[in-house]
Amino acid sequence: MTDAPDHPPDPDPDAQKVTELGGALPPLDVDTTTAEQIARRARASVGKPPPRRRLLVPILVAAVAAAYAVWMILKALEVLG
Amino acid sequence: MERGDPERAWLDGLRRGDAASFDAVFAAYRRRLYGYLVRMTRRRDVAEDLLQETFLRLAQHAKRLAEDTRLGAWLFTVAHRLFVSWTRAQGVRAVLAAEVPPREPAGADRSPLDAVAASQAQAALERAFAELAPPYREVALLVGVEGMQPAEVAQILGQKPEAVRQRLARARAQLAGALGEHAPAAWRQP
Repeated sequence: MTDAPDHPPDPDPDAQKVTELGGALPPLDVDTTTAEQIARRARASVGKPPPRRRLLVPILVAAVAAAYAVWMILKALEVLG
Repeated sequence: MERGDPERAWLDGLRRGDAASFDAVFAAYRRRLYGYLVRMTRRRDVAEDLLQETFLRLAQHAKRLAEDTRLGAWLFTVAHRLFVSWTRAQGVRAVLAAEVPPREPAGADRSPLDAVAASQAQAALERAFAELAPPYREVALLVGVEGMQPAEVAQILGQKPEAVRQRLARARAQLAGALGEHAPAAWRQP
């Protein structure tokens, strides 16, 4: 997600009309306590990679799938041979 | 969405792992992302979770951000992907439970969006946006509330600009129909 060439102003009438309406929607905000909690949790991770346990499930799934594939190939060879 | 000098400084700070820059980005984007997520999920609790996950990912990717990253587009792309994942998980849960999931937590008298509407017209506007199908609502929110150009929205959603313009045209037509007498006067003219 990097900079693309700057987008020129769009005279799209649909965009103008929807913007008229969108601007009238009331602003929404998360409550202060929750916002502070979210900021604190995320701030503690600045510059740190995702925890390794996030990779655990995909690795396990890949390992099981690979083992099953090997077993299938061996079975097929056994039947053919 | 032009990137001004503060954003340049925030990006440089994030790339160095500077927590103060993260705080500045959080302050600048939290309301915008939360508004988008609440209006897409229609659940404040889910929106809070997805907001947290969005900023966690920013924190974890901070040092790997490219020099020319547009922070707004980056954050909304992550939020969009998290919303898509949540929607898919909701679908799986609904199939497993053999029922359609409720749009709001049980017992909620009013939607979280109606609660912030200051007037009948604003509530009608919230409902009109809420009634749009998610692909149309998403485009309408990113263009209409966030002020993004259709081409930028196309990048965020991974769609062709023409597809975004078509969705926008349909969203506009459906909003006009749903608003009825609450539509701005100019909208009611043929």
